This record gives sequence, C-alpha cells and structure tokens, in this order.
Amino acid sequence: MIEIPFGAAEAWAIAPFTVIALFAMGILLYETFRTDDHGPELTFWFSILGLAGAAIASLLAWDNGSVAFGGTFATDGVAVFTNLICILAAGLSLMMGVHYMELIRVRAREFQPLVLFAVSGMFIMGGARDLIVLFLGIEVMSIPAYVLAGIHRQDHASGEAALKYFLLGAFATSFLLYGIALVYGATGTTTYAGISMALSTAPHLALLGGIALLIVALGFKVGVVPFHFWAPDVYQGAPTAVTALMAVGIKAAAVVGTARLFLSGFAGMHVEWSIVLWWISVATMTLGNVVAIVQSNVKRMLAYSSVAHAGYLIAAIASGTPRGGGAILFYLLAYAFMNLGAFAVVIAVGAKDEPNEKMSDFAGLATRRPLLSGAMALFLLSLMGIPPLVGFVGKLYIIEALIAAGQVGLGVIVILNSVVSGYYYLRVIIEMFMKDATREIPALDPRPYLMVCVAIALAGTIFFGIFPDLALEAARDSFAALR
Amino acid sequence: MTLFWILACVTIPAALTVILHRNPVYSALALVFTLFQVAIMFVALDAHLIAFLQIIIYAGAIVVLILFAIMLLSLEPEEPGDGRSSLRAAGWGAAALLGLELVAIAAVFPDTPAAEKPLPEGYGSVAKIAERLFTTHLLPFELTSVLLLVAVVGAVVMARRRTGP
Repeated sequence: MIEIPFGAAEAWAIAPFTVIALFAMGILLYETFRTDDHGPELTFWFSILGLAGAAIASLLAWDNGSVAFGGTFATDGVAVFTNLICILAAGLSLMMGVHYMELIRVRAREFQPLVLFAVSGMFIMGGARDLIVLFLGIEVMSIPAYVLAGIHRQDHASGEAALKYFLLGAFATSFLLYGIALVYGATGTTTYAGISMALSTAPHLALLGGIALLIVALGFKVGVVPFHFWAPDVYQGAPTAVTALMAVGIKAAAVVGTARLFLSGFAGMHVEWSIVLWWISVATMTLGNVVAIVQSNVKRMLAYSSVAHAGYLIAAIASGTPRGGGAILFYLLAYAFMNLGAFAVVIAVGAKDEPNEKMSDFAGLATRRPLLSGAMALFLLSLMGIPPLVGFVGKLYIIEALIAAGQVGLGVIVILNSVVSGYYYLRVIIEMFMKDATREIPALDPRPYLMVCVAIALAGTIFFGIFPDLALEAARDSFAALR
Repeated sequence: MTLFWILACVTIPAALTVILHRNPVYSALALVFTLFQVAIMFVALDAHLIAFLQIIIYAGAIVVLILFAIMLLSLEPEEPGDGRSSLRAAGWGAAALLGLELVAIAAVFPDTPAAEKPLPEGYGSVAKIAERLFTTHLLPFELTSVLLLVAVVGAVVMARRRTGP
C-alpha cells in the first residue's frame, strides 16, 4: 500500500487552481441544465466570484519560498503575483466581453468557462517548478485559447486566427516536448531543482540542444521574433475581449514560466542562454515597433506593440538577475492595466456589425467621446513610457535592472525603441484630438460594464504610476526569494 | 540482442512503407504493423505495461481514428509527381537533421549497455508505474484529467452547429 503524498501544503498550493476550475465546471453545468435564456450577467458575476475566490486562495497560500508536490510546484511570491495579474486580465476581459460578446453573437456560456479554464492553466504555469508541470500548464492554458480565438464563428478572420494559432501551437508543443526530452536525457530529471544541480555534470551538447528547443517553444508562446508570425493575425482575428486576454494573461503566464525556468533551473548556464535571449529581445522590440508604425488598423497596431513589449520583457530575463525578475513582474502588472484599457477602448469605439478598428475611425473621437478619448490617450502614453504613468515606471525598472546587471547596451536599445514606439502611439492620439471625423459614426449606446472596465484600467495606470513602491517591493522580494 | 536485430529488420521496412506507399489506407495498416513491432521491443525491455498501452492506445485507438479520417475525407491514392518539391526538400532536410542528431547522441553517450545495469525489482510493472504516478507525478496526473476535460469542452464548443442566438 502506498501513501499518496497529498497534504495541507499540496491542497493549499493548488487551491487557486481548484477554485477556478470548479467555478468553470459549475458554469458549464448550470448552463447545461437551465431552460430559460437570460443574459450573460448572472454567469459573469459568478465568474467574477470565482476569480475573487482564486485571488483570496492565492493570497492565503502565499508562503514565500514554500514548495509542494515534492518540489515541483511553488506557492511563492512569484506565483501569487502572476496569479493576481492573470486574475486581473481575465476579470477585465470578461467585463469587456459582457455586452461585446452579445454584440458579435457569441454565447456567454461558451466564452466565460473557457476564459476561466485558460486562467487555471496560467496558475499552473506561474508556479511550475518541473518541466512536465510546465508543459501541462501551457496546454491547459492554450487549448481554451485556441477555441476562444475562433469563438466568433460568423467571422472568417476569427476562424482563420483559431486555425493558425492551433497549428502553430501544436508545432510549438512538439518543440517543447522534444526540448524536455533532451534536457531529461542530459540531466536525468525534470524538476528545476534537480536540473540546476545536474548542470555541471550533464553532457553539454544535449543540454544546449534541449535549451534551444525550449527557447523556441516558449518564445512561440510569448510571441517573440522570429516565432511571432502568428501573433498579429491571431490578435487581429480573435474577438477583441479574447485578444486582450491573450495579449496580457497568456503573455504574462508564458513570460513568468520562462523566467522561472531560466532564472532557477538553467541559472548555472546564464552565459550561454543570455546571448541568445539578448538577440531575440533586440530583434523582437525593434521589429515589433518598426512594423507597428505602418499599420492602419488600431487592433493590429496594438498586436505589434504587444510583440515589442514582449521584447522588453525578454530583455529583463536576459539580465539573469532577481532584480530583472522583479522588473518583469512589475512590468507585467503595468502592461496589464494599460493594454487591457487600450483594448477596452477599441471595443467601446466599435458598434454592432461595425468593428471601427481602423485608424481613421478614431478621427475626431475627442469631440464625440471626450472622456473615452482622454482615457485612450493616457493608455497610449503609458504604453509609450511617459511619466508619471505606470508604463514609465515599468520601463525604468527594466532599464535599471539591465544596467545593474552590466547590460548597458541592451538598456540603451530599450530606450531607443521606446522613442520609436512614440510615433505610432502618438498617431492615434493625433487622430483622436486633432482631426475631424471622416465619416458619420453611429451613436454608441452606453455600455456600463465596458466603462467600468476602462475606469479600473485607468485607475491602475495612474495609481501604480504614482505609487509604484507598493507593488514593486512585492515583485522584487518574490524573485529574490526564488530558489 | 538477436531478437532486436530480427525486429529491426521487420520494423524498418514497415515504417518505410508508412511514408512511401501511395495509398493512405496501406500506410495506415503498415503503421499498425510498425507499432506492434515496437510493442514487442517494449516487451523485450521488460516494459510490459508500456507494450500493452502501445497496442491498446496507438495500434488500437489512434490508428482507427486515422483510418476514420482517411475514409471520411475519402483520400485518393497519390498520383506520381504530386507534392511540392520544396516540401519534399524540407522533409529530407528534417530527416538529415534527425539522423545527424542520432549520431551526435551516440557520440555523447558512447557506452550505455542497458543489459549491464540490473533492473530494480518490479521494473515496468503496473504496480511500480502506478506508484510513481500517484507519488512523484501526482500533480501531472491530476492536471492531465483537467486537460482532457478542457479539450473535450473546447472540441464541443468548436464543433457545435453554427446557429445564431
């Protein structure tokens, strides 16, 4: 008779995951057995309740440095911080989706449970300290994401996005598994703790091959150059509320998963992998920013901007220090607020059967919707990195971490890229405030959920810009305690 | 060792048939044959459970699924000259890369004669695998169940008939 090693530590470690998965299943069951067809609000609030429960469970489980399941899953500060960012992303995406999904004729019963399942996968990625657990987390997160990308069935682009994302995602998964197999072959273990101990004695060639394949697979999930080809098409084709979740939640989970793997498992081989990440980071931010300049569709522009931001995040991983890790977590929080806000405004500008995503659709928006335009301007300025908004502080800490790690050149490239990005962010602001509307745009009906969503994102963008210490200390401490 | 060479001589032609035959149904049947041979190799390595799983899941479920797909799509046998040359070149390139890797791995691990190390008691048995599954790999085991549920829900959402609300 064997004893199953499942105690209080294990139960707490996966408590956030359990809560969110149970709520997702609860919504599925409720939707299956109910007979009347009322709106999406009830299940929306139920989802929010689940997310809040998961947030509380994460905070209760917060026990810095503690690990469960024989060291394969952590409930440290990094995991809890990631959980909270993903909960924020999912909550705001669901909020954006309440009326928007009805507008594009997608049923809430399909949208909401899938978002919750995707979040449960993100929780696993944030805490994974084992390659197999990381793989399963990626899959639990990605499969709902594939479906969500194609959930808008009437729209051709949505189906194309789903197929593209699915095929390339499956391809990336095979790279991931091959990489895991090579690392396992070289070190004889899949846990990060075991890998970091076996690094010095493991056969170098097999290990390097494994790390290279893992970089390809994780680079695909994060959406970095040269594995970014799916990102613009998928972000543009997917319904905007889903795009927001993908651009923020999935990116956050993938970046933290990558950072934890490289900063703890492969920490001993920093010299080798940091060069690769250096080049990937420079290529990603430069290409993302340069291509974003020529876009005429705001959603597509935001997609390329999100590729560029992935470059800044990879730069912080390349620094290889806990300080860089702290900068990543803070930047992800900043990025969540400003990017979710920008996507919410894109939804707010659209009307029934009229997405209004073109640059020219934003012309003269300030005269019709002054508050909305003001909010959009602040989100874009924050994405650009203008003080005192949160995006500025986030970039500042990444650059500071890079300089502290002796990567001054990379820091300078980040600054230069921010200057380039100013061009396309400012272009939207100029369209909104200084141009006249080119055509009659139908009056928009008030959508309270969407406006609350914009307000929350705006509050976060301004608050954490002025008082960053609150979140920054937690972010730094969590990565300093990383083992 | 003799068994291994005999199996290898049968398995490799069968595997080549999978990729070289022009009729997809023959390819699928050759795949069943190949998978059976690999299952016998697992038996020879004392991995009985893996051998059975190989037959039940791969030779049974997955190949049947492949056959269904072939029948439903009613794929015609490939005409000579079909297929783009660039794809063919990519295929050869990938094959060459894998072959190179095989040589590299053989060079990295020059001597790992499996027979010299005595296997632990009950190696590869159902009991041992179950023990590992419920102790070391408890979390992956439980996560897999959620993964399957998510995949089923996703498939149902995607496959539902396209009707507006």
